[in-house]
Amino acid sequence: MTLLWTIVRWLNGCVLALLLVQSVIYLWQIIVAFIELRQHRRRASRTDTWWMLTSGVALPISILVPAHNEEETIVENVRSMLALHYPDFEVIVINDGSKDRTLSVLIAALNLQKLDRVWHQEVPHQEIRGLYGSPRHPRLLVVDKLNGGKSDALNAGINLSRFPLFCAVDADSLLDQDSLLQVMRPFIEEPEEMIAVGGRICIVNGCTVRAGQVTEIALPARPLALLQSIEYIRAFLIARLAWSRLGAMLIISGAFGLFKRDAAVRVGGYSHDTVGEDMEIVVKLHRYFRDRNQKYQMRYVADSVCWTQAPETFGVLRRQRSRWQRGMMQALAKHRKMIFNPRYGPVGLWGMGYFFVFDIIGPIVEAAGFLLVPLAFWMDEVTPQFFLAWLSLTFTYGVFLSASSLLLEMMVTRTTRARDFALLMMSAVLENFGYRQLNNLWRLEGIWQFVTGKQGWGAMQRTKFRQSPGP
Amino acid sequence: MGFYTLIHWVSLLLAGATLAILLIVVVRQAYRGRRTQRELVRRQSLMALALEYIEEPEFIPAFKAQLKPADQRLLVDLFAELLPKVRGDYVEKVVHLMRAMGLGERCLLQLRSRKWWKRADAAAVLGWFQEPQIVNALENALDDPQVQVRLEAARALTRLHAVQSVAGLVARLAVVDASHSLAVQEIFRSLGPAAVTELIGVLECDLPDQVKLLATDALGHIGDPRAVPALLKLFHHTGKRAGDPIHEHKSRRVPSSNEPGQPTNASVALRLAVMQSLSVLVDPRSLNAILAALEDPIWEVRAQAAQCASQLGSPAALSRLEKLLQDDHWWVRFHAAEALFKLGETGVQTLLKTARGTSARGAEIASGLLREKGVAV
Repeated sequence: MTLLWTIVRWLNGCVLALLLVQSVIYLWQIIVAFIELRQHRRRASRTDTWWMLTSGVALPISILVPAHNEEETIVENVRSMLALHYPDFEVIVINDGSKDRTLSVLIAALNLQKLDRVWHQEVPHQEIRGLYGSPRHPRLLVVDKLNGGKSDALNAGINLSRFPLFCAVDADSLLDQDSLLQVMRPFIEEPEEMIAVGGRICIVNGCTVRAGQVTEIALPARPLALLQSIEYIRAFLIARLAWSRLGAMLIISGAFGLFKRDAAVRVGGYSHDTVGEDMEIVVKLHRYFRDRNQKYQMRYVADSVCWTQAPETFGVLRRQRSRWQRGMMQALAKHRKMIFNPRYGPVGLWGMGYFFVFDIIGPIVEAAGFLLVPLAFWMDEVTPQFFLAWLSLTFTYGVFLSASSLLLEMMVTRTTRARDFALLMMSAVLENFGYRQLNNLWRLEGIWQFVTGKQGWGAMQRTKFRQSPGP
Repeated sequence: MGFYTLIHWVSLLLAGATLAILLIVVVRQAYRGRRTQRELVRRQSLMALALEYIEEPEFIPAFKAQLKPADQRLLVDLFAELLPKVRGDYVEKVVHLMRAMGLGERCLLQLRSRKWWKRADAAAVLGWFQEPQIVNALENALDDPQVQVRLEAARALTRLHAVQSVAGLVARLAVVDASHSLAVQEIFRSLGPAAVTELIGVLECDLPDQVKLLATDALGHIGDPRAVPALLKLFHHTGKRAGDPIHEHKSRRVPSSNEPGQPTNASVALRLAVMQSLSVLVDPRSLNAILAALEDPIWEVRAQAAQCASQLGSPAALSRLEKLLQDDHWWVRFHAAEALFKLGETGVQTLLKTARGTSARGAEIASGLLREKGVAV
């Protein structure tokens, strides 16, 4: 009994210490994100898109769109990509062995024909069955290949691309018309050292889409997607900005990221043995350049927006979140040498250290906390007074963080309506009752899947974008 | 104060701060939303009025009388967006209207603002005014502590063709922290034919390679054939001077696909830049240098030389391009094949011969490229 008492007391201490450290880190992130955003806003407001379009400074980009069973949205998505404001780009759609009509709808809608293109296999991928193009859309190339997963499809795209930069974009996502110009800005400032730039992901559910462009921004009507909206704001306007500022950014979302082709080829492209290929390639790039003591930079651009569909059902969201957790753990396990390793600078010491402690140990400790509370009550280790005080503190702090992220959101977007801000705030309060706990459960599931060696993505559901009536 | 009281007070404080933030966010956004809407409407009406008065300058005083105090800022923004998009007489008409509205003076004052972004905005707009005092002010802005302001001032001066000396630009832009920026590169490209002599001078001075790189790139873009001898001299000189780095680079060359793709030292980058400029200049005097570059130890230089050879269109490069179809590096083979195709019938025949030949490496790239171009192999 004494041993159990000691263990419970020790675990209680761990939970409290972890929460305390995490709270301090969150506060630091908010302050850093605020400073970064203030400076960034000034620079961004000075971005003359017309100058970038006409002066010849914008480097050519290959947009890679891996598509697997995307018949619902692929045509609209490709049309939207082809209409982007950018001086020189190509769109490479990679049909990764879809079982639905992804390829045939593309062929029919865009009048595609088979063509030849000479290419070189610099990074590994499955066999390519055919290439398609259309004289009506000279910027478009469609690659039909055997199924090999998203990494495999992106690798095929890298091999077929001919421009110095490539932009990986999800097939269920839409880019703002000026997104490419905005995300290109760091490459103009530092063309030699810049190797990757990430853009911001926003939720498209609820927004109105016309001709592949988001014409009216609105919050999702369904509660599950609404709860994710505040999560995305927190992730992209606080965490990512702060890590980017520290030079320890570990994730460039797979839905929208711009990479130097040559750097990606040097690290062997996307890895096949992970479902978190977006994080893994970024970690791999950090490792490659740090190992060789070569100067490099990666940056995050908060006003370059990509719109993505958020899951609206618990089943799909659960699969997504457990997969994210699994992917993150795979990347960390593969590059475990970097964790807390000062040789890798802030990336290893802070970035990977943070992910290890708070995203791997954190969910386990949080779950342990749920079990410990009743046990601690039973053992008189925690009084109801302490429990309530602690609960009120963590709850108000959580809501305060979300409110602060809205303040940052206001600095970036001018279009969000005041009513929507109030709604977002409400969801920031409500997410503490059930949603956060569920999320933790899914992360634990991801940890379990990683431990048991589960592979694969699981089925994702695609729905058509909400259309506005024509003129 | 007890422990629990402290926690409760902190919680209360956080709750209060949250409510305050929410209030600020909602009220400010509501206010900003309305203001944005109002400004949008006003901008549209101002634009309509401005377009009307541009054609009838005698009524400008009447236009001026209709303006509210806040309209001047909106008009500056409006014209700053409009000016880069209009051509010909319209530019002068817009600038005349701005002058008459006193917007030039307003920007001149703004150039002394404490906020750097306001100074940068002002410098950008002043790039359309030819007045000597404005040019002087822009010259002074080249010494601004903020790089963005210096860039805007330099861009404005190049637009006005009022850059007093390339050396001054080099000192204020290229030798400071923005030397790698493509924005600086673009400013040098815009210097125009008047700056060719000075840019050639930069190539011959003892300046960092990074600065010479900017001058080389600019000379290529300006397209003045006077630059060719200096560029050739630089190419040969860089080759000799950079013996060690090239040797080092060569020793790292392996036929694997993971070979470093970018030049790792400035002298290699400089040789590449010279090749790029020569491919724009298309001058027969550069033939020997291009032929030599086709056998350069650096693969990037060989690939660029192949592109250069196709631009020049000289049959003298045919045999060396044919040899490059067997190069260790795929991108060199690809550019050589493309160059042969662009050389016309003889090049296509060379590609066909290689495609039907025994070397798998050459046959693959030659037949692949021919198929891509729609030629039956």
